[in-house]
Amino acid sequence: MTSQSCIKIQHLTFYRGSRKIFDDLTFDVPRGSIVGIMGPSGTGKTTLLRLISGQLSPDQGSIVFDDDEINTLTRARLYQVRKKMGMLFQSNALFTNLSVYDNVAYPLRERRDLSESFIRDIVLMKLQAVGLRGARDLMPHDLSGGMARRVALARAIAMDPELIMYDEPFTGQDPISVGMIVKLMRLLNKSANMTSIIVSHDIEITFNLVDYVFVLADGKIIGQGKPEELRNSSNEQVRQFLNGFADGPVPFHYPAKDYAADLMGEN
Amino acid sequence: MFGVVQRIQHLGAAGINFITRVGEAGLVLLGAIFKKPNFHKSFPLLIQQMYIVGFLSLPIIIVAGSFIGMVLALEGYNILEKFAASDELGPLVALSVARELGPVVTGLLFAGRAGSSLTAEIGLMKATDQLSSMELMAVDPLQRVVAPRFWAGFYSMPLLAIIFSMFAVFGAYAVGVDWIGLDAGSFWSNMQASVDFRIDIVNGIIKSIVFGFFTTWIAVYQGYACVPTSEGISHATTRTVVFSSLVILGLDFVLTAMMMGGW
Repeated sequence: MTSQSCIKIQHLTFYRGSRKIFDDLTFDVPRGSIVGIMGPSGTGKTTLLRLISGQLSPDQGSIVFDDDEINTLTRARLYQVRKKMGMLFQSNALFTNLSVYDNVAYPLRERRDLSESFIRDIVLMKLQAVGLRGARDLMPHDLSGGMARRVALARAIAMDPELIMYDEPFTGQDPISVGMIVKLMRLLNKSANMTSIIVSHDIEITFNLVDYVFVLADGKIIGQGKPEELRNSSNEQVRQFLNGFADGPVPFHYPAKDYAADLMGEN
Repeated sequence: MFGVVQRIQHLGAAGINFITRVGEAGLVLLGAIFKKPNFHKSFPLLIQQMYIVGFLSLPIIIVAGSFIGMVLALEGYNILEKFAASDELGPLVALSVARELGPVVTGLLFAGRAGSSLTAEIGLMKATDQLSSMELMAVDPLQRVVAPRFWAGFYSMPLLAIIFSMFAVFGAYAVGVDWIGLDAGSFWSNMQASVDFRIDIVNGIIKSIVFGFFTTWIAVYQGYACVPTSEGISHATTRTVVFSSLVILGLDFVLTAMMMGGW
């Protein structure tokens, strides 16, 4: 592990039941970079984030974050390591019984020994960064999908983590909010040297934001490189994904028997 | 022959599955209650959950207790009167309620009202990634979510059973004395003479503590281990009510046998 890598994934293999999600996956995430993970639906992008955060364990291979091999850590050590991580969940995962303010304050109250007045300052700064300082007293059920996403983002960055993982951060956002979130991500990356991993299907926004992209399909990396390199890729799978072609090497349909035979009820 | 082998295999698989589930439930309980608590953070959560699990269960407990006491008084009076023993209505109601109906009916109502709510709440927290997000914030959901709910149920259940029994006796008094016209003095004095604090009251409280332990354990485990879908949560909630009810009725027999055997 070099100090240049924040995350080092080696020979990662992971199964869900009998289905192989990742097959001998190997790649590094450089420290302080913004990396995009892209690929068709169902390729395990969210699963990869859960493996990196230690919520799932690989069947084979290793995931190293800051010199700690995540899948071999004790629970106590894993919790120590997670203090350096933040994650924006696809479902937002806001605590429904807590207000916007208390949601953002939650990790600070739980994991930092800070005075309530200091916590207040941090929470208001984070909410100001996502444009929701005025919504601090609202409950999660009062928020629109886009607002809830921004509150979840404020909570994810509340602890100023070394690594932040964004799972579909642009879903449900209007163009103004997208612009603001992209600006915030860049700021966090530059000013705090935060390493960011972004899982997204939004190719244009992601390509304009990230330093490096990995495209996953069939449990493997089918393409990787800087955004401009991927745009010029000759790989058929990458081209199909980036251009949104229905026909190509990446199947749109889940594996099934012949359509006509299925309609005719033949075995 | 093949069918028999298959049935034995199914039986074996079901047995292994059951033992695995019990083991998992044990680990959830261990993780929740045998870790050093942070009183500064845990105590407010416990009070909040005692309000939700215990205090908000009071209406159903009070209403059910009152009506059961009233029905017992009516039924009891009709039978006792045939033997010219209607003065024994007070002891009949008090003993029935303190030893059996109080803990058992409170347990069943508690499983239906609070147990199902605990399962659904924890299950929904799991389905909406709230438990995962806690994990990722290095906060143990067993400590912050499961433990306060478990202890709240454990402490609330005996208190609710005592309140149930009190209101059952008041209900019986209302019917027996105010409506039927029995003598209030003999109602209370016969009750006082017949009910033994150690044998009747304390044993009833012990039962309610045991029922509270198992009902809440089942409820929090079912929520924590449920399949995080609407159907999975629905099944888990149903399992909480069914398993809790069966455990209460089964344990009631075991505890009654032990108590009558002079353990």
